[in-house]
Amino acid sequence: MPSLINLIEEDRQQQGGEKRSETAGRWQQDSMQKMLTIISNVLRGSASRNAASMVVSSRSYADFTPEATFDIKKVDLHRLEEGPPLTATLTREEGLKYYRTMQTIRRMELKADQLYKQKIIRGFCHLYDGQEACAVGIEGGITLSDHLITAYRAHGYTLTRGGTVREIMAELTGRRGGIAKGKGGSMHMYTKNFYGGNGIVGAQVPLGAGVALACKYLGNDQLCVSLYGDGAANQGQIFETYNMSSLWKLPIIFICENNQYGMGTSVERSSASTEYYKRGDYIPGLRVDGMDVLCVREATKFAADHCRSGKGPILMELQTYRYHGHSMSDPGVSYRTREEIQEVRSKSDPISMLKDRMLSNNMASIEELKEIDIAVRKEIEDAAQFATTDPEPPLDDLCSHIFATDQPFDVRGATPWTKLTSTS
Amino acid sequence: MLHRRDGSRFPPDVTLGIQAKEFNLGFIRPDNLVSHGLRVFRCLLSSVSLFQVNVQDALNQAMDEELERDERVFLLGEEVAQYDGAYKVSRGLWKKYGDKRIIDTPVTEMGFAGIAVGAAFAGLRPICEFMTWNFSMQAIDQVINSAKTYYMSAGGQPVPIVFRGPNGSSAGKLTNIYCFAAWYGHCPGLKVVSPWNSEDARGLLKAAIRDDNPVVFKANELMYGVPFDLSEEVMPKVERQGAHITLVSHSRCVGFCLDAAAVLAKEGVECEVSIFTLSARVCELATFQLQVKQWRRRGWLLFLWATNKLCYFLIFFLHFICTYISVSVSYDQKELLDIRTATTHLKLG
Repeated sequence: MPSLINLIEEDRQQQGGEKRSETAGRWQQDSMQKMLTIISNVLRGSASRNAASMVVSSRSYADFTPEATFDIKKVDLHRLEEGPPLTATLTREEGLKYYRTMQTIRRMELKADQLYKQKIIRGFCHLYDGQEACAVGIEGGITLSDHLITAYRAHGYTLTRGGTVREIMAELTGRRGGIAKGKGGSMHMYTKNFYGGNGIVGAQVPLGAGVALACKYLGNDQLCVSLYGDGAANQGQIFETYNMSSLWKLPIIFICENNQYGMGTSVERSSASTEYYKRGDYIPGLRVDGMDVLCVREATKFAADHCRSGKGPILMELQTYRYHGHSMSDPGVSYRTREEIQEVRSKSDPISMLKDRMLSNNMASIEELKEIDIAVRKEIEDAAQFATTDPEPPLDDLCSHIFATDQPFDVRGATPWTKLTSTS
Repeated sequence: MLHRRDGSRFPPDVTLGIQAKEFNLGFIRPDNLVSHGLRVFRCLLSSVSLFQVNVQDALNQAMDEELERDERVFLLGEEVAQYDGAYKVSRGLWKKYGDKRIIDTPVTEMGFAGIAVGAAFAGLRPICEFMTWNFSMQAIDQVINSAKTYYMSAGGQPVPIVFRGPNGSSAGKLTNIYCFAAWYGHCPGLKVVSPWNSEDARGLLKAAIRDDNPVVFKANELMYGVPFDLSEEVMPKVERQGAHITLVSHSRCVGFCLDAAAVLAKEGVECEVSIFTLSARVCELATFQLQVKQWRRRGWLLFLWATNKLCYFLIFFLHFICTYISVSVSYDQKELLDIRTATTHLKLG
């Protein structure tokens, strides 16, 4: 009986979503549970679902489904005969990991919003909430030895690429415990095989191709994922990069994170062709639902296989959405409606989607997920506390790291008689 | 009037342009003879051959040696491979090293400069050639922002890249002849070098390739074919000794300074073409001040928007200074008079 109550509760939460039919999974059942399922289906009123395919596992506390397979949305293809598979398998561990990472990104961005409004974070701050499935899905499709470069909306990627929340938040507040020792800020966070964080729109794409050239040169079977947005997709240097990476068959995955708005300009107003996955012309392309972490993961795996087999570059367009405005100085509602934001939040939120999938397939209990939420909140609070109290970098650091492996030298300060020393 | 080293004045015949016959040995002055002889003697002592190599071949040698020495070094640019280099600087390298290490790029500066910087991020040591530095304007963002990465990553991400190409004036051209030394020289984190002769070109290019920082290496197209003595050692040196004026210059204008010095020497004004700015970084020039004696006048010749007529302009200008402007400098005064000459501030193509 408790299981039925849980199911009904979930139903109430899930009402109104078309996607719910796709979260149905197949797993082992016993007859009692099947009956409960049928009752719950009737209560849900979802006649479109085939009740026979719905199965419920036994609800003993420690006995969760280890693995489930989901149907995922079909991917649009350009110059490809076949695309990624239409189903994705998710294990319980993976599910919990993705959930935790996405929740961490979400909470971290909301905390950054809060700290910015308190003027503890200053300068640029471009928030990534709403797009978590992209970062987590991509990381699920590649390994940490592969390379990644993105533009300024980089906090999520810094986390998935090995950064910690403490370091990221301390970097946002410009303290010495930050990932770039407080000298990089929001847009210049680097970890191993992650090249930022780049301020100039579109400039990171040729850089990513350079990294891919190095991968090919060194013959290490690694690839580079080079991300850009719908606003950057019209940059000339990106097309120059398409040309060279195609000519030289570089192992690069171009990913366009299409969040529908380039700052305040919607895609219809900025691009003559909004089919960004076709803009590579001679480069094969995929258009993927960027709000579904499994979709993104499967597409990335497919793209990675394509690159590693020496076929050259491939382009992915992830259709996603950002809840915040372009940056902290943008309320985000002057060029789009609040209703639109709310609609996406309620229907396509990546974290909710994963949560629903896991709960309805009994891969985790609601308590467990709540525990993860609480742990994430605590982690973010600790990180924010650290970021607020850590001291700023010392003045000596102002001029250091101008040159690599050089002798210390004097740098002229703001006036001819002030001298600062630079160390490498 | 100008003062001699001991504080006494020149006789009027010198300052009014009358030739001092007793010193008229043409280009070879007693002190020049000594310095030239010393240089030859030094080379003989170190038993290295003193042979004539032009700047183009010196750069070719430098790149060849570095490509051989380090697997991570590679060259990319327009026409560097099968065309042997637009100015033949990379002649023979493609035949020797192949497609992997000498890469012909399409005419997309921004794209390939970005690719070169990205390759430097990932651990290679690229040499990115611009056909001339004018075309680097297409890619200026990638060049300048390569210099910021080491700083903004607090030392985590070095960028060991060399951007190379001919800079400045050329023969009979009105476009593609800008000098960008000052533009790039103002960028912190970017090392800008602008050598004149073969020895410095070769040494500096090798140093630039081995350096872990982004280096902007500017040659001059007209110097490519000029032969110079080349020895094994590489160091900047005093090109010409002189007691009265120090001419500080870089790239091709060093040659102008030497010509001007030769002409002025006939009139008894001895110019030291002593220190030429190998680096156009403004803050490094302070180190050169220490090397110039206090009572000398120092005329700077900068290579901005240069024209071919600069040589004559310089001679006229300096002569004007010597003859008509009276400046006295006391022994203790450390301040020097800087006269900076450049060309007319005209935009040429």
